[in-house]
Amino acid sequence: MEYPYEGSRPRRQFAGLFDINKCIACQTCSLACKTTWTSGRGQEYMFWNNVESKPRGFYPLGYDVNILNLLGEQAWSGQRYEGRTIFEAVPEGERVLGWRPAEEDYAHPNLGEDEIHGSIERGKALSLPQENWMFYLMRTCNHCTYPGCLASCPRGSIYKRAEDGVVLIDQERCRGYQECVRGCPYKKVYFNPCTGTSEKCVGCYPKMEQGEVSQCFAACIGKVRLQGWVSQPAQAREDNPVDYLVHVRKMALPYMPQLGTEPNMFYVPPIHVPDAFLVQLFGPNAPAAVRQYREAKDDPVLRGLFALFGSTDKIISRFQVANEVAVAWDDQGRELVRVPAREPVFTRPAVDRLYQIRRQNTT
Amino acid sequence: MSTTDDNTLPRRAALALAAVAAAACRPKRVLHLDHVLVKRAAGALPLKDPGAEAWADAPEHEATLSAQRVAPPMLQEPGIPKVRVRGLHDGTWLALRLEWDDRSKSALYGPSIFPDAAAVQFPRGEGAAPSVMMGHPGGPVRILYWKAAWQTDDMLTALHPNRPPTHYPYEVATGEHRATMEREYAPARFVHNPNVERPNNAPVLLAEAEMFGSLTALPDGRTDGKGVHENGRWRVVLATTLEMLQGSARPGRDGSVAFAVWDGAGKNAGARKMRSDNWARLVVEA
Ligand code: SF4
Ligand code: SF4
Repeated sequence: MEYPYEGSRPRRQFAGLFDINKCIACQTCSLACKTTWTSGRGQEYMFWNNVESKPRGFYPLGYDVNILNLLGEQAWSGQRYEGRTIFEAVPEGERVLGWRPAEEDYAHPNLGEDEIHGSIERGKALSLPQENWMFYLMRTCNHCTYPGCLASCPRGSIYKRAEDGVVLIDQERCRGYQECVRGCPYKKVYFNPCTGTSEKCVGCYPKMEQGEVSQCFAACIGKVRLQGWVSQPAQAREDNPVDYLVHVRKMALPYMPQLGTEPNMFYVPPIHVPDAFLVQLFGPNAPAAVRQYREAKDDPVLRGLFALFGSTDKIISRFQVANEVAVAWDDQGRELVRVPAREPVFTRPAVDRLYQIRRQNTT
Repeated sequence: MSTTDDNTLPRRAALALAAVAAAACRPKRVLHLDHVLVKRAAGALPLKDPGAEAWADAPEHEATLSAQRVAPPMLQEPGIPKVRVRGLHDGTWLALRLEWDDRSKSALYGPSIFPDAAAVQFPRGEGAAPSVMMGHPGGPVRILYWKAAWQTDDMLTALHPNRPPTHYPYEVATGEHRATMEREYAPARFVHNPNVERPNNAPVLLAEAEMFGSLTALPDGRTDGKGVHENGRWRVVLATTLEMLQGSARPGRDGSVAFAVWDGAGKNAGARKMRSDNWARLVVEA
């Protein structure tokens, strides 16, 4: 791949795992981020973390279809991508292949929310040229290994931290040319009109330095997320939860890997979505990942690992599942949490005789 | 004795008045030069008045600009092709007034919204001029930079005049608490980014560069100036002290100067600019 700088991997790379199937689009993650980092003047429209309803939701409008369209049809050969990335398909005079959203493209942060179609009341049907499925996609900056934002800044104002792989914009050097907004295919850099500089997700690095997970991970009430460290495939460790799902089981997949930035957020794809769409978004391993997920209930390790999602506010470096119990440790070897691999089910009677009340089923 | 109406006193007075009026209306003869002559001003420098009478006395140099197409990201569509330059100094301050035609005034910042801007470049110090493309390693240049957005006080209201009032907790916080919050919600302000904070609060910045992409603001750079958009054209004064130019512009000596203009409506920003291909001769009147 042709990246404008020599490859230089961080000493370790922070990563996120997301189980799309469990997200309820409550947007707690988006708000946790917003109150922490983007409640200032000029940051109103910024959602460093956003959750959009796919396939018709985008933030900003059409960011993914636009870049895929610009890139044009490209080829996979089995699991190997043989097409061009945004670093090879560079137009004359540009640093990367990109485009920049207009202000109005940010006008509807949750456009197409829950949009789906099917029959509506009394047999009347609203017919649209779309199929009967949707899912929620939670998105933060991918803290890419080959960041499009970093490659496109002519001033070298963007850097990737060696200690954790977090990609940051130097707020002193940035001069607000918005080249990074153009160059990030995921549109995770936002321009602040009041400071004249571009801003992006900082991975909550002050928390990370303390071994704690980022705000959007900590706040997730759907227990969709797990934060950890991803290794290179050759160094993958089976007891590292991220490595296990990404490299060993190949169930957690990067989003639009064909763009070439090597994103470090990994998604367990939704199980009810046509393969063609999943392959376009998550690459050729998506259908196999869905098959494994469907069978995860019979797999003690997977069951235990998924039970660890959202179970601790600390970053998990190592895990183990034995005797239906999943245990997680931090990188100092301290035990963080232990959870049953199969969540027990409690059935509560509809009438509580002790308190003389009836219980409502609200779900 | 014959008298005609033509010779009546009122008629003669009218003729005299007409002559005075005609002289006042006749455009002053503008001296066009192939170099930039910075005249020694008789009175105070009109640093904040690009339309001041004093500018009319200075000769004009028309600089041709071309699209930056040397290093990516390049300017894909040509922008402002020419800029007219006049110069004045008072022995301490040096001011250049740039004037160019631009029917659309762009003074806002926003997502994909760019302000008009202009820059004047000088070699730093004496000796041979470095690369005109923002200098070269070991051959620094000093750059005076003006952005229309730096003259817009309340950017959000300018962008969205009908927006409802919003409460920003950190703006009402005080002391240490405010600093902590500013760090999170306005990091560029917290680190004094020159886009937010400039010495003297002028809309002009003094910076130094040694090649493309290396522009660095000088925190103690003394600058002044102002831009006014009127009748489809910008007139912008960019000024600094002769001392700040470190010998590259001295009364009685020849130097070099180059220009760049960004058209906000054409999404010009950073390296996507119109700029001088060659240095122009700079003569600072003794
Ligand atoms: S997702 Fe975008 S902003 Fe984040 S590192 Fe990758 S290219 Fe940069
Ligand atoms: S907090 Fe969790 S469940 Fe809620 S929207 Fe975000 S990712 Fe989904």
